[in-house]
Amino acid sequence: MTRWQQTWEVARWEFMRFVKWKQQLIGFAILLVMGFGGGFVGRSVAKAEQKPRMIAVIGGDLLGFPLPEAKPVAWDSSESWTVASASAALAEKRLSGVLVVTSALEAELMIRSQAEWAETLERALTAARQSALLARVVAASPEGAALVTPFAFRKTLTDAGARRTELSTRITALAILFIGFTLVMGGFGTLFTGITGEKQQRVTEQLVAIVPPQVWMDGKIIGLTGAALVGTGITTIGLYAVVKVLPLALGRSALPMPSLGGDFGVLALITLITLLGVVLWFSLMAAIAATIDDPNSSTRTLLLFAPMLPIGVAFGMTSKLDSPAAQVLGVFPLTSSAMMPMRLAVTTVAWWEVVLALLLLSATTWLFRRIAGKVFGAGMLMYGKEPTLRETLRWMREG
Amino acid sequence: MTAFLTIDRVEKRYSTVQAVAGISLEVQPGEAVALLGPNGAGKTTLLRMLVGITRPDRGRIVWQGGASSLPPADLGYLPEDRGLYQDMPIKRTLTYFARLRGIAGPEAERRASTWLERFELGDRAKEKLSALSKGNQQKVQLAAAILHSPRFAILDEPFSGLDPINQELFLSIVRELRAAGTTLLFSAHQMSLVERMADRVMVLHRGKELLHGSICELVAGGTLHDLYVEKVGAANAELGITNGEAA
Repeated sequence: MTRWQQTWEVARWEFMRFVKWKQQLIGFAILLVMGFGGGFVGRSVAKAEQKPRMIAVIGGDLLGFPLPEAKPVAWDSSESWTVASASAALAEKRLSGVLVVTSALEAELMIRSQAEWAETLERALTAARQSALLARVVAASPEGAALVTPFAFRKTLTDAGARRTELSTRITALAILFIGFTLVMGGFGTLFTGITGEKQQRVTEQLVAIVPPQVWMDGKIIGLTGAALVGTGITTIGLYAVVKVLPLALGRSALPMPSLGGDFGVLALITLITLLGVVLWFSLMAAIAATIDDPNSSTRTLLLFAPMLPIGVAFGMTSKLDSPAAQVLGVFPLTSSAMMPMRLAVTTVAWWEVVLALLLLSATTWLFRRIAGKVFGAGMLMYGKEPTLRETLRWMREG
Repeated sequence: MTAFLTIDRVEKRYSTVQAVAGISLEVQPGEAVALLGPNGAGKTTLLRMLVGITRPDRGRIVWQGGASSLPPADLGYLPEDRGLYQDMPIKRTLTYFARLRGIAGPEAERRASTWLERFELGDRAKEKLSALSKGNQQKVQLAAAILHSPRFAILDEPFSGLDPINQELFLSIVRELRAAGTTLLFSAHQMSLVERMADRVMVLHRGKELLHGSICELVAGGTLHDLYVEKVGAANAELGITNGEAA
């Protein structure tokens, strides 16, 4: 049996161990129920909050400006209201509040209990008074008109890579980052459970007698990448359905989600770079997990969060994807898998940057995979104690 | 006759402990050789080197044909550190091990079923390993080691933890393997079973050979148990060891 066949067998096994289709479908259903259910509940709550609140106004003519629109407040400025009659109506819940205006600058709001709309009302009254004052200034002075005229500003995008709207650009970047994050985090869980579990169940000795550690490692990474892809794919489809369909179901316009459809070259590059990055980080995490004896007490579990660093850096750069720092991070192999896909999706990237990023990422992934294979092979059979840094470095040198 | 396995002055040291100190042994095709010795004698280290899990510091291990390792399809290994996937169905686990050794899918499944029937676990094929008793888990472990009909089987303490009924079952299966031509190298502490199973024994003590010969020669007029106690006891006394601990 060739190494490739053995690698495939291990990959298939690891994939089957961690992809439970029934659980995946249940998770997908829960995601949809939570997404759509949450959306509809939110809409119902918002509707309930929009129920008109009837406010009686006493002394409204003292304000010196018309009563502003302040949903959900509805004004009842009938002159028949007195403080006593309005207070009685408030107590009988025929009114939601009573606004007693004492001067152009002062009013008292009487309400039964705290209400969110009271702040809205306060802001609306303040804004209405400021507008009224501003209108008077504009009318009195020729320069006043310029005061309220916005600066004439027109933006023309000449770069084809910048054809998408700013909002959609940011959403795309964040979506790609989210997919990468879910992939790595999904794999983090399975790799950690898979490897430390195998050590604890003492499966390793039986397996190492059949397959070389590097084959086992490669198979594990391929299988667990597949498992993580399935998990991420299902989550992404579920979220996309919620984000895309929910606003329409609620009668709102959908979020601007630019499609990469037709741009297969970019899509293929994004996929390739993301997958290479996943393999790179999985190799490192597998090697670390192989040196952990007891996952409940080992402090090395913290090292497994290392892949979060480039994702965190990339997250901070989502609005600066054209900056020189983003260019460098897009090529540097430890950050390129998070940064370059975002740059490819939302801006124009020079061909040489893509080639350089791919070469460096491929070489680093290959190196990590080889080193991890050696550390994995030695660490997997070490029970009872964790190897020291010196021992681990020796294994790497031997590799 | 060309030996199936030649171990030539093999040494292995772990830090300050000399686990194996210049052991030489030849195993002929079809033979059953037992490695005996107290805990820490070097049996498991020697067997692990044969499987390729660790490498000797000095000396050579040569398999039939001059190779330094045996292909997985020809080698069966039951480790001392037992363990299989607790959360996976037992038939799928056995099929996986067979496939890793190059047996095609349908044939791997057929063999897994056959061995589970042989161990009276046929009706529990879809259950997870964790649902089985310790003894039944041992049966699955042995099946995983031999279901590909290896030419050479290395069994590290195959009888440990088994009740007498299952010891007899394991013994009968090992005899079937031998009848089918499998060469056997195993370690054990159950002297009466070793007498019934092995052609030759080698007793190790502190990584060195203490005694080596055929069962017939060694136990003529006595028992292997008595001989073992006498020789290992004398070696311990020479080193000032009482109850297995150095004085």
